[in-house]
Amino acid sequence: MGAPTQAIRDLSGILPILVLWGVALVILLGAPLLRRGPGSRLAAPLGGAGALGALLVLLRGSSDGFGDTLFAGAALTDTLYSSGAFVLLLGGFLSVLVAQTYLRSRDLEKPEYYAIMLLSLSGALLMMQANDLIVLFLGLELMSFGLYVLAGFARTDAKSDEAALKYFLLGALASALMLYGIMLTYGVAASTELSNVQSAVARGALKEPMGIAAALLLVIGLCFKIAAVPFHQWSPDVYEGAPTSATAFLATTAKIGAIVAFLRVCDTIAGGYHTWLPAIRAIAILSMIVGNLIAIAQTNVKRMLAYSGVAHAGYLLVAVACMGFRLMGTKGTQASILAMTGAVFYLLAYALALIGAFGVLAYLSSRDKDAQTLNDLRGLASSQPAVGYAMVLFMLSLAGIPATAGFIGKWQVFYAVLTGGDVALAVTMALTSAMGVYYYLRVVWYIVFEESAAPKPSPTGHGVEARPRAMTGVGAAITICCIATIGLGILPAAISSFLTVVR
Amino acid sequence: MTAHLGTIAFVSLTALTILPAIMVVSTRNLVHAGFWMLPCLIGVAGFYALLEAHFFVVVQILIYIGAILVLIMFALMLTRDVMDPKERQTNAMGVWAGVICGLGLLASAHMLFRHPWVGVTSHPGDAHAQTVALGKALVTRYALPFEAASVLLLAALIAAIVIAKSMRPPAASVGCDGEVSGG
Amino acid sequence: MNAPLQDLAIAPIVWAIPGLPLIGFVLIMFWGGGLVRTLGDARGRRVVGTLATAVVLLSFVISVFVLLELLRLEPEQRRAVASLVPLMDRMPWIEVGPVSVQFLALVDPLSVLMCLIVTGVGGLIHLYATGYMSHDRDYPRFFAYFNLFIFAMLVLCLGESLLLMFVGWEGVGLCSYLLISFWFDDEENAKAGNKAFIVNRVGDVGFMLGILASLAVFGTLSFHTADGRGILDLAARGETLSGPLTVATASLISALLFLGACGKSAQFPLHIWLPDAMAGPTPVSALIHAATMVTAGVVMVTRMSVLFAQAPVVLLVVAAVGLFTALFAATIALTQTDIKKVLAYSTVSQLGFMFLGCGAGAFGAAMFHVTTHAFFKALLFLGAGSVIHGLSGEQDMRRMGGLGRYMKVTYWTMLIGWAAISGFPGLAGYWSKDAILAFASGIPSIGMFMYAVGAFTAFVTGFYMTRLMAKTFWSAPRLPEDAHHPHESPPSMLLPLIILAALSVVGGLIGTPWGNAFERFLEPVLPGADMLHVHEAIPHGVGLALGALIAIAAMAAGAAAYRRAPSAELLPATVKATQPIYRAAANLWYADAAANAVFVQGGGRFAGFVARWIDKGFVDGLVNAVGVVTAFLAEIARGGQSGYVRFYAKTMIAGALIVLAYALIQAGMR
Repeated sequence: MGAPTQAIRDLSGILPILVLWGVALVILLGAPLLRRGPGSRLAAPLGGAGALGALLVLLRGSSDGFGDTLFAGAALTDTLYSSGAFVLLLGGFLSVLVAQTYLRSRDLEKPEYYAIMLLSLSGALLMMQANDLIVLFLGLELMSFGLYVLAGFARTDAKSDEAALKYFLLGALASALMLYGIMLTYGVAASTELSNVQSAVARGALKEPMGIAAALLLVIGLCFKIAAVPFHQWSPDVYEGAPTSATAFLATTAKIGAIVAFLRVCDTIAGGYHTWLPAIRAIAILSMIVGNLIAIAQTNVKRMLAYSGVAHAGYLLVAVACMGFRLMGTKGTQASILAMTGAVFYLLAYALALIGAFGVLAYLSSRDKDAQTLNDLRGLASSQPAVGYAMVLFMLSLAGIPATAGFIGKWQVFYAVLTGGDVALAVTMALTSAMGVYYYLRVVWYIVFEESAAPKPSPTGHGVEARPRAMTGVGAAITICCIATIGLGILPAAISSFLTVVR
Repeated sequence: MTAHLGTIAFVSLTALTILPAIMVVSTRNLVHAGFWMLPCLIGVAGFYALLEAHFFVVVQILIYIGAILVLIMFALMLTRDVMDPKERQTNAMGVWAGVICGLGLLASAHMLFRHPWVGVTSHPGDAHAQTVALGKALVTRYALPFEAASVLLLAALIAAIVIAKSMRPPAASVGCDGEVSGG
Repeated sequence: MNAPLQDLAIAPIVWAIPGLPLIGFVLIMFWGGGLVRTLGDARGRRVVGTLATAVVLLSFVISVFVLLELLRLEPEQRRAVASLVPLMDRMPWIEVGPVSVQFLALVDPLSVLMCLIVTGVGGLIHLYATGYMSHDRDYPRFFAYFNLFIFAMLVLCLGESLLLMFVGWEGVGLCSYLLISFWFDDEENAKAGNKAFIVNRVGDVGFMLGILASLAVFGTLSFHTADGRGILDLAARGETLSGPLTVATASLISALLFLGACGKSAQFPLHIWLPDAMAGPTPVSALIHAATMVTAGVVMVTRMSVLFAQAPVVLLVVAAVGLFTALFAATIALTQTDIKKVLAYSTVSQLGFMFLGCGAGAFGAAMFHVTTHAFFKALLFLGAGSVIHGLSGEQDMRRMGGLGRYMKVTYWTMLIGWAAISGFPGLAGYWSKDAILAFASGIPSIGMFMYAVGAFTAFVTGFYMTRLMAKTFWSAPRLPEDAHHPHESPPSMLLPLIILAALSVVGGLIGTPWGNAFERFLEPVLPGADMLHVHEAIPHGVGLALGALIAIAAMAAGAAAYRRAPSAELLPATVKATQPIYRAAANLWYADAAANAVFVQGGGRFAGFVARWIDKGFVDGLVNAVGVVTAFLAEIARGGQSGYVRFYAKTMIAGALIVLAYALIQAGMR
């Protein structure tokens, strides 16, 4: 037959998405069987298989039909997509593992959870593959819908309901702003396809008020999704209220999807950097400062991680700002490519540490107790050393201490922005990350040095407190996160073949 | 002369769309609000007609009025007392919200008027040609967004069911793993 | 100066120097507890302690072999790189753009010297700790952290690039944090650990920015590369990646790096964490907060001496900060009553001397003092630990006295330590302190002033050390009646004391002004000293004689003063309470209170302020600016119960409007 037809190439380009949709449908159709009895044990494995299957398809398929636009320009496959998708699907898989144990121990498990998770992942993938603002928007909405529901999945818990409602209302507002931006983009570019937008920008579209408004509304919409200041206020409430497994998932998925899309959008409109670069720089600096400062005052670990997420959004926005340097000479081009690679690595390190940290909280939760506060972590290093030190490792990685993956990610972004010559951003990043170490170390403090509130287990072995959870999903997730965090901290080159963005 | 006719049609369609829309959000009776949507949706269909997008006129009337609005009305009539007619529809912030939105609207209008619009060159053609073009676009260029939109609707549907499905009180869900009732 | 990197026959085992302690850490961390459980308490502890000590001493042996190998080369050629990963020539760590950082060790006189100190003194302190910590509940965990510390410190010393040095830098900071707070029973230790961490953050920011600046200026992070384009290669030639190295650039980088050094090496005003760090177990104080980690700043400045040499102003600042810290801490040490606090302030003071040496351009003399100080300060701390151990945990010198006859070995070794730190002629401290002061006298125009202040500080040092000895050993016993009978420590604690005492006696002989083998050994790594033409304004003979005189005078004055006061209280309590200078010194010159107010409480308050007002108030204030004053007030008036979502949405809209307005106005102005 010769070369495959266009249709087959188009479909193979979005194969990971199709796998996710397929498995989600299987779960939904089989929901009556999966809801009770012996079938109930199958829902989580199915969900995990969906994420893992999409990941394998992504890794296998990245050789042929690559670098094309698909569906006559609606979507594309490139290294930014494939590396981002790798991180996203890995995070998704780990989140399924966390959910499996957490939902079970909290009596929340329903098969729909996993189906929604997979649909949400497919939305994020669509965002990353979008070559058209309409596709980007649909992906964003598909992702967000899933996240709204997962945030409110604990329906008997008023806080969870509240979180979902808040997230939904504010998310809808952000979506509206973004949609308005897309509409105005169509107004100036007479198209929503990114390549057309790029040439319109080259013709000076961002010098007109409408173009400026369009670009900034897009920026604002995406800033909401990554919880950057001043669009961050939903995140602490949502992180706290949502079931822990959903928090882990929504924190990572939204950030990965939105940052990759953000990189792509800003790369597209790099020609008009003078309109949006000052805004992104200001938002980045504000996020780094405000996020780190407020995190210090938190005693609830989930809220603390939410504010730390705001700070991390700031660091990632530093990478996004580098897109603006693309047209400023060879150094600038180099900086923008380095920033893409750096941002993806950062996202990987962040996802591993964050899912690991929420995984530890999930591990410690039981039917009657939802572990959330610093007090719940008291003396963990002596009562359950493996989990305790895992949490210590995740905190060190989030803080960016050398020899963890977090340090490498931060370093790459540092280097990119320094190559771009933006000293102010680099210095702010250095100063605020030093500030951030304080509250991460406080968690370490509680784990290692505070006496456990609960009675100590007998020295001969596992006491009554210890639950045989090591073999369950969350145990596996924590183990994977631990190994990857330290492994990538020492050998980041091991994964660079997947994660290097080529332009 | 045709230009004037077009302007007159535009203005009257705008009135037909916006005034009922205001009524939809301001009336205290929910059923009335539902009915007010009817002229609003017809006005939108009128815009499509003005743009010579014939297929969309039909679709707008069939789907939005024929299906969605009817569904909404059914839902409203099956639900009792969802809204207290005595409840105020605005609060102290309404005025300010209005002022800000008005300013935003003016700014937008200013922006739109200042923009050097590029005239659309290709004519949409007759109803048949349009429908053919639309059909083709939906299986080529817009196949992915189209499918994504349907998955989005599916996700929204599931989401609504998960959120809205009545749930046994928590005491009832105590049991073996996975024994939470789906009822 | 730019000799090519050599191949060392011993390179394939260099990884074992830091590798063995790391293996020790992993083994003890994961299986130490199990071992203690399965082998029984006593045997398990013995195995764990022996393992931890053995790996460090084995590292010492390898370091000695590396030293011998290095000595076989010509002095100018003693520079090699070796992989830190077994069985691999090179393993890349970070490769971003053109910058590549690899797991490589730089083997040269400076790094080998530090390896010898860290593993040698470290091994002795490990041995000591097997005795000292024998009653501790968390024995395996202590040794795991201890081995991890040795590993991190060796990475710091051996690292071939600034970034690898930073890895070690952060690693030792973390271990210090973990070990300070090792006895976490009381609130004080908790605060001490936190304080150490916060203060070190300030320094680390400086170091990190210095690294970034070096990267921007030199385009690499390696100290030396095969093609002669490492940081130190370029700087020695006065070049950068593009164009010549200006004084301003060198000053900026070295100032940032010095800020980092100040944090780690406890120089004013970042010294406040070190005395508090004494809350940890005594072996920790000896190893980390006296002999090794706190000298990291000096090592780093010495390593970067080429850059510092080209920044004369920064060099002067280094000297001034060092001298001021030395005097300042010495006066505080005069007033302390906790035996470990005295030694802590003494450490801060001695570190000040080392920086004075660096500032004078006498990097070799500074490293010499690092070496001798490691011997006698470790000795003094371990001796103090032995006293504390013998008194079952008593640290207050006001409740000691007359201990000489109960603990003979401790007494005699402490006596040697006392003589060494005071600068008694012929002992280790005498030679190194004299070398620093002699070079300080050569600082242009203010050298003699520096010398005078330094010599006075040396006098104060001798005096407060005599005070310590008098209160602890010579005065009449003032133990409480119900106290345990003081007892001598076990042999595992005494052996390190004896070895260190011997080193404190003879250790200085490698660096006498006649035939200074030490300086000759280090000279090839210190091109900075050559650039500066450092010299001694005071002739050898005069300097040495003066030094000897001062030391003996101080010791004699102290001894005489405390002989006349059998209760070992020189000043009546009423004088202590009212004399303003005494009170200020006893209150640490109020530095802690000020720093506490600024950094610790200030930081916390600021965070709280931001959380309360900036986030909820100011951002909302922006809303007001857009014109919703009334609505906001109404919201407050109604008790803020109107629903947070609306509030958040308002913030979002306000943010969006500000962003838009800014961009549009800016565009309009263009």
